[in-house]
Amino acid sequence: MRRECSIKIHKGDELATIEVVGDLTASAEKAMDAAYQKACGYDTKNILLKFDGKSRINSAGIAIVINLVIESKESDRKIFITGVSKHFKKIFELVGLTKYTTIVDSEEEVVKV
Amino acid sequence: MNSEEEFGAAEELTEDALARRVYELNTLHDLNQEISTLRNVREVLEASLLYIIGVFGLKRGLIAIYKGDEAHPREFAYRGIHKNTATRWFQQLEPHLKAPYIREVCVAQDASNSPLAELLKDCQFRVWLPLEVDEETWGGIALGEKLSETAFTADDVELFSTIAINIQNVLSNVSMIEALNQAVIKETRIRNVFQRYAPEAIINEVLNPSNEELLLGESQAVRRMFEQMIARLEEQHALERDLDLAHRVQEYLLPGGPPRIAGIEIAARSIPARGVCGDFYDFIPMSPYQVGLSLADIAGKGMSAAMIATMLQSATRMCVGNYYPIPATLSILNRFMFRHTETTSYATMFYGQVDMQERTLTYSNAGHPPAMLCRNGQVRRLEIGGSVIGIFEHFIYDQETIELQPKDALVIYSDGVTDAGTTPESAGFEDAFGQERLEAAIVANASLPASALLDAISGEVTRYASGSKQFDDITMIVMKVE
Repeated sequence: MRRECSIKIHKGDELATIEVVGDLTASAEKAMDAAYQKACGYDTKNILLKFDGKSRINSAGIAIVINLVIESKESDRKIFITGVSKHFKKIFELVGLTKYTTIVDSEEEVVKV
Repeated sequence: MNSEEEFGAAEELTEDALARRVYELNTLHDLNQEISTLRNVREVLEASLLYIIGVFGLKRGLIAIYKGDEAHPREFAYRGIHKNTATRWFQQLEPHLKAPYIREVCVAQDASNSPLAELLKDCQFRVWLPLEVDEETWGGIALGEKLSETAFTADDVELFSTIAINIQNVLSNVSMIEALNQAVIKETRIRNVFQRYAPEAIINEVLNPSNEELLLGESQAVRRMFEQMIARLEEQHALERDLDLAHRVQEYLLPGGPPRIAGIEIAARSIPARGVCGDFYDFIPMSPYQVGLSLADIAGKGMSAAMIATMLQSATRMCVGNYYPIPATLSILNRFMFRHTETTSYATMFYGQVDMQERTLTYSNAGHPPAMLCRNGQVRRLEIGGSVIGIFEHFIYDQETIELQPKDALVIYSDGVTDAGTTPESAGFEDAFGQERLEAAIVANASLPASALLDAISGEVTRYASGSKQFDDITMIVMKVE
């Protein structure tokens, strides 16, 4: 059963966090783009995509993440990802996303990186 | 039998490959589900490209349709490139559309001399796949490099082609709906004009003004009938088109002809009860001396069963193409179907691999009617395997290997054969053709070549069922060992 996706943004001292609760699919694209633009407005170089640990991310969701990652590279920002299951870590690796982004275990780890 | 151990080992050895395959199968499922609900060409292109970018992990891509008329507008969607670049490339490609090379898959890294390869490189695209709808090239899909910076593989191209079939299928459907919508808009305009002017004009010019009330009543009734007629025609057109489309996709996916493997002869036939078939059979060549034989029957009939059959057939090809052991293949298909179809959906399936170097048949039967192996006038029913596909999330299947001998005849069939002559209410009871009659027909004709044996069994079934309407799909594969 697909879980509805809700997206929130938090601003920390050194990073902006886009919190994704639910499944990331094509229907979330506009909300994700808007969240990313808002996060860029916080004038931070680090953006964390925080999933809830149970999120299913299908190919369309992966494409949305790819878009953000490419855009962030062009604007010299870094995207970190946390809260994805072992399966989706593997998928991120298989599609090459881990070349462009860093998967971390927690928000605190971003600061260390 | 140590199939459980074998399956465990296969999963461990191919963890990446398995994760990749599951991801690809999920993509096919999700893409198909999403775009089949869309009713606009541009939306289909944008959604399709999103999934393609995601499944391959691409930096950029473009999908274009050049079929330009009132009903089929020229459209393109792009990701990862600037709009001006996409527009320029879209225009540059158009003059090439009538060239023969445009109808072929082009991987730029393998085709440096092709004009298309040059055009692809110009926009940093790596692969081109044409989109053909109603046997006409409408456009295609161009893909950029992968984030992983690895080259496109044959497996990628195969997956890409499967995705393209789904997109073509939906595009054809959507185009028909858009054409119909255009027709409906025209009809509505005419109706509006009629509604606004005709009654008054007729009243004023032709009829007695004293009949005005009566005439207005009649014109309303005529209009209502007209609207109902249009609504029914729309429904009927959509249904017929869907059925025709599904039938064509199924025909496309059926193997072109029996494979040529030295030492065996194969024949097959499928007769749907309706326009589309909930059964499918397939031959999957694995080497010059190995072939996979599959025959499955999806619970239910009509469009929904046909769609599941098409999905299951594609998934089977992908698993077999990856050389998974037979029990692992059925376990993956079982889990995939459990997760991605309604809880009431399931399929029965017989899957076997013939190896003529070893002269063996290895098979597993997932709740399917037992295939029959006839040797020296005796029939052996092939029943080793496990549960039907799609009911239990996890199921480990058994397999059996049989040494083949000269003149062996193998008959794999769906229950439409053994249930022939019955009605849906009485299927499986005494008046059905049944397994005993099928056995007798096989034994009586076992000396014939495969195609003649298939004809003989079909003839017996048809004669037995004459006078009763075929209510289930009838599918058979016959193999003779030389």
